[in-house]
Amino acid sequence: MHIAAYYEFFIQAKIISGNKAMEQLPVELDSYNSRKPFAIMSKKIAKSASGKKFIKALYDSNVIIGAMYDNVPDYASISMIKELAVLFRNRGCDSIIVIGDGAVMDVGRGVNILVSQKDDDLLKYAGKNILKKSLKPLIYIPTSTSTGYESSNLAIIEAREFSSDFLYPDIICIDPRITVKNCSQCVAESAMVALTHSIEIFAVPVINPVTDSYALASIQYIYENLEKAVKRSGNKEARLAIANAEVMAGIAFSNSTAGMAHSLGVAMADSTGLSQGVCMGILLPYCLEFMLYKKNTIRDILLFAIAGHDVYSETPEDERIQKSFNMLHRFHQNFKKLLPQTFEQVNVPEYKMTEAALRAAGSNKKLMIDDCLIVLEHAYHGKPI
Amino acid sequence: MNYNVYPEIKPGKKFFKRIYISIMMWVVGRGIQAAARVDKVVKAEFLKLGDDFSFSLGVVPDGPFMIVGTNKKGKVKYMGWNPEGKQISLKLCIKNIEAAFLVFSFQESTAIAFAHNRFIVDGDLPASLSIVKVLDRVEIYLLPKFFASMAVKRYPKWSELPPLRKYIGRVLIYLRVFTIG
Repeated sequence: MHIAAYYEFFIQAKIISGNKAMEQLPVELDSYNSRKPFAIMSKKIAKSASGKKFIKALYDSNVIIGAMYDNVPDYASISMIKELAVLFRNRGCDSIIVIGDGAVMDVGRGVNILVSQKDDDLLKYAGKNILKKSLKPLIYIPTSTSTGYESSNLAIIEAREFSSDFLYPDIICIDPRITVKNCSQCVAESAMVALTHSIEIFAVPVINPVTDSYALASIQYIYENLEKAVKRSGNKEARLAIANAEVMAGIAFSNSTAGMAHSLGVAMADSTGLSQGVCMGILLPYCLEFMLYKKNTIRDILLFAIAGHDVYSETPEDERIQKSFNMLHRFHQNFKKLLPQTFEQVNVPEYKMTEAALRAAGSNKKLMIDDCLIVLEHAYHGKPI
Repeated sequence: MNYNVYPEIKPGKKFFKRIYISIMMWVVGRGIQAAARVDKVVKAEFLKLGDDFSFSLGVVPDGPFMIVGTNKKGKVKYMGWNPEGKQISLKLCIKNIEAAFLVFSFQESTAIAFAHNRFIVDGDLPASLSIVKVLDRVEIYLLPKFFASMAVKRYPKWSELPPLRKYIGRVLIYLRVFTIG
């Protein structure tokens, strides 16, 4: 095993996962001296009656929910964040509980910045490490369609990036009653984002053993459970595993650097309006293939995560990467009913490739436009590199 | 935004579960008192804990609770449900009513609940492990084997607790629970 010459790892969150996990929240809030949380929930989640389950979980406790805003759309806007901050202050709340995925967590983080900094100008805090003091306790209850960004230290509000270690949630509470109510396609898409982030950990030249362990567990959970989770939405165990994998991938990603599949996937999603999960799912095998072609380092422990101990041990060292790449390709094909296999299938115009390549190279300085174009062209037609 | 659409939500109560747990705590509390007179293992555990020892087992923040301790004569006694004004050497608190329901409906054994961090222990940790052992022993007497094997860490073999002793003990404990204690 390689020994890391130097590494850093930071995680603020306490993770509570499993049966009756939400019932633990009153005691956890008590440890932060908090009695009146402000709950924020997405519209999608509110429809699935998860709000009632959350309220019921806090029965027989001394926690009063200051307000439960269950109307967050798929987009985090500053005006809404400001209004929610006013509601938070009016009710005298002292912590924030976010239930859902995507924009709702960005809204939660935005509200937390405003109420903790006692300010009304959110844009002042946009950028990297602008926040200088800790915020109010932030509790995050994920669904099985979280992409993992929710567990990281990043918020994207009106196309502006807010990044700080103070933005990590303090508690991540993964409860099967919340993770079970999501559509299969959304679960598959978000799992692809998590899988991309975890797999790219092994393509980063810097070795970080703690990040590796999170990524390994995340890949194993996704490989073993994604098929079961999308087949039957009521499979609590599989959905819980996927939610755990997404959280772990998010934590690993926030302690690592963005890889090629992530940068290209985000750029393609921004250019085409497709979901990041669809784009990263298509791009991941081609990015890995391209790295193999370029003889970039991908650590063979990836096969261990994908196939387990037995296959890893019986495969010769120089064939492990190729084998893991083949298995990954097959894994993605298993979900062809839910996830498109090429960009051609989803009728993306070809000129969008150039636009996405430029965006990706602009956001990730390590990427060359020509390299991005090669990968995108092959991913467009589904041709091996 | 109309703020009145999003009112404050006060926590409700789970009456059925509270009543169920209260009854179970009463039975288990009286069961410990009876078992300390009938079973050698329970007696020995309390002897190890010394005089003036008492413990409470309950659900935070509002109960229900049960208090069991050794009185001035050195006898183990169920001391009721109200911890107020009592000197308690060991407080075992279950973090919420649902976790307590899992334990008292035998879906989760006491040892597993400890491992799942569902308990808050305020006091001597070795003493709390003795109490877990006592609770396991009492549950073996009080419950049929099917339920008891789900509730305890390891169901004792015949050599450790012969069936005759178990059944006689069970009858005596139940008689004491519902009569003299």
